[in-house]
Amino acid sequence: MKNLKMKSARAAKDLSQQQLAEIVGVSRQTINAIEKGDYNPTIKLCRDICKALDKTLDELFWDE
Amino acid sequence: MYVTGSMIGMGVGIAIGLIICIFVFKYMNTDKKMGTKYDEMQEIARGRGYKYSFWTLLICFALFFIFDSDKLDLPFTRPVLYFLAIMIAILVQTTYCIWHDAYIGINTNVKRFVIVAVVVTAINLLAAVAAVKGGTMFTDGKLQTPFINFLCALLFGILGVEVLIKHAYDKKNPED
Repeated sequence: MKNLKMKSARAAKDLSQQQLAEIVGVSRQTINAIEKGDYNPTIKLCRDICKALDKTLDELFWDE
Repeated sequence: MYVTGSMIGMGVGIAIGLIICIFVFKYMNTDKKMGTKYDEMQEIARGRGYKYSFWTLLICFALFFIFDSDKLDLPFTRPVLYFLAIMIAILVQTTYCIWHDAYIGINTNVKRFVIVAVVVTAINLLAAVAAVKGGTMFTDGKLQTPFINFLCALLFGILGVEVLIKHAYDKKNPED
């Protein structure tokens, strides 16, 4: 399932996938795979992404 | 067991090759460190690549063991045959990693990687051509050890081309 919440949070911060990838220390392809729903990140990476985007885990990674 | 001059030469050659590898990795990585860094998704993909490569190596050795009998005389010497199996396994692992975004690390400079691939291909190709001209490539109806140079050139050539194609594809589809 696509992670549109993360994509929109990244866009709201005006960050490209490459920029976000550099902030959290992963490849651009990994960010792309998370947004496309092709890869489930570890909790550590989830936390790093949340910190970079100023969001909580619930806001980005919890499905109702 | 006798230690021959060629065995010592091969040992020294491997040792020098390993030392050169350290400098090559430092040159290829943007942070000038020897180790290539991979993120968690890449590590998982690389693990799968190693799995497929492991099974490929087993299958290759099993097939070569079956066909390398007295009845079926293969046109390779044994060292070439072993190396061929290793090369096929490496090609499986690297190809899988390249197409699953796990070959180029997060600290790898792609341009420098391609330069290294071109240089290694050229060196091995030159060694192979020299062996053909010197008549040492094919003797007694079998491809001899210098054929390994041709295999190395082929492997690095394929890798370089694959990396370039993947890089171009990623640039064309930056955020798909």
